[in-house]
Amino acid sequence: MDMVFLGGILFVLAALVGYFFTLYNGLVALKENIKKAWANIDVILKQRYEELPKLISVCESFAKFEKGILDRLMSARENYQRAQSMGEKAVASGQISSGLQGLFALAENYPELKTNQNFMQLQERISQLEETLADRREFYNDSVNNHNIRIQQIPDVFIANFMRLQEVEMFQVSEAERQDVEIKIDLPEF
Amino acid sequence: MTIDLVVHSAVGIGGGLYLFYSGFRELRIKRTIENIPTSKINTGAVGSNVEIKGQIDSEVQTAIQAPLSGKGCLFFSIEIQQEVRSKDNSYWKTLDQCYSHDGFYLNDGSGARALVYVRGAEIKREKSDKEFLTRSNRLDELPPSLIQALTEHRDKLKRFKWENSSWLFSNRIRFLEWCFVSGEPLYVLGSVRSGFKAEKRKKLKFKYFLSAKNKIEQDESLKDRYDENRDGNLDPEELERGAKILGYHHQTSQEKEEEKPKPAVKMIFHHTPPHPFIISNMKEGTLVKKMNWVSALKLFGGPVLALAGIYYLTLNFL
Repeated sequence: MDMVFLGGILFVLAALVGYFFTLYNGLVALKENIKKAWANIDVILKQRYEELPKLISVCESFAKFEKGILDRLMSARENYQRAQSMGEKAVASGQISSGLQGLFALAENYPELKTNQNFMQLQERISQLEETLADRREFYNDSVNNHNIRIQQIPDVFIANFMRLQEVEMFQVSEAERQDVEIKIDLPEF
Repeated sequence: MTIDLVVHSAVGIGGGLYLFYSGFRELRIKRTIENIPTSKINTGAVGSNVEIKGQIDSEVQTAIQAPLSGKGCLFFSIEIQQEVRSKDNSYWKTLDQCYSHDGFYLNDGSGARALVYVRGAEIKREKSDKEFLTRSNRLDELPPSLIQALTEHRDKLKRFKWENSSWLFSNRIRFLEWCFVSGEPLYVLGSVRSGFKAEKRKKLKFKYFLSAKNKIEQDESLKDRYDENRDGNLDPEELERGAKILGYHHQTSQEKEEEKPKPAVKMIFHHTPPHPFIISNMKEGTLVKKMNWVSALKLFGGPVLALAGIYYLTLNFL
């Protein structure tokens, strides 16, 4: 009977240790998932960053094209280049997205530019990157949400406190992206 | 009697310890499922632990008939089990498993498909669709559709000996079938490598360019629309650019009507130990609930079984 009792105590101890490890490893995985999700966004931001000069140079080759929007895009690109932290990169990314929205909307006014093969290819490529970016941002926010919920739930909260885990901020749409794009278009009347 | 007791107790202790370990494994996988958000096939990143939800795609696979149930499906599995009997109890031991195909396609409506290679995956289904029981001395009396399926996949059957044993040493043999029907919603969690690249933008066909050019030439409002310099005259360059825009628009809308473009394969799921690879036809919530119960049962049942084994041993030997 003593052996059974001892065995029982060993099982309880093993269960407690095992459960602690499961919770601990789960929280580590959640923390690393956020890093991975951000790294997957960063890859797309970098790809978009590299496509911008090509797009700007195609637009610049059209003498009539409004320079203001290109300058804004260039300055947003420089901001992204300077950005170090996740937050700074997110803000600069929002400025680029807003600039691109403006540029593509303005391009509607230039049929010559719209039919340019290079412009068409770049537009498609950047649109795909934007779409991927939106989905990965959603994925990142889901990962952050899972993390933030877990570290406040019992029993994870005890281990999260022990690991000094803190809430992580979501990747929100910037003010610049939320604003409507203002463009003056002189459309011929039908 | 003593040897029997030792064997039973040892089996109880061993089984209990295994159940206990397996309970923790189940708990870990359950938490992985809960922690990982769902990716979209078209835009999700590749790597380990990728979760997708979609429907089995019937566009690229032709329907087949499941050998036992006769159901029209896109993918089926046959598991062959043998009954192992001891004095007091018996259990079913899996000998082999074969699939109708190496994998299947999943579509989540994001504009791309995922190819899921099934081998090595943990299939979590509510229950098997159909089973067929026989004895190892009557294997020549299998249903013809099952014989056909087994013949087709004979090279994949390593442990199942498809020949009649003598009546004296015969065992019970069970064939379990499950299948995925067209459009069935599935949950997949596993390691992903990149599939093929998305289809490129198609070039403008000359016939669409020509018809657009004719249309602009005949329509005053279109002439006016593509008159970029607003001089009241449509230059040849302006006409060409207009025909390209209009022609491309007509071509894409026409092609959309004529043929539904097949989405590209962007993700390939495959078994990569030690990462979990799970395929289920249950909803994520149901799957998590089920795994919760299973892990709890194993975590409590395992120690109870092992302690019972220890109790019987100590009762008789100490």
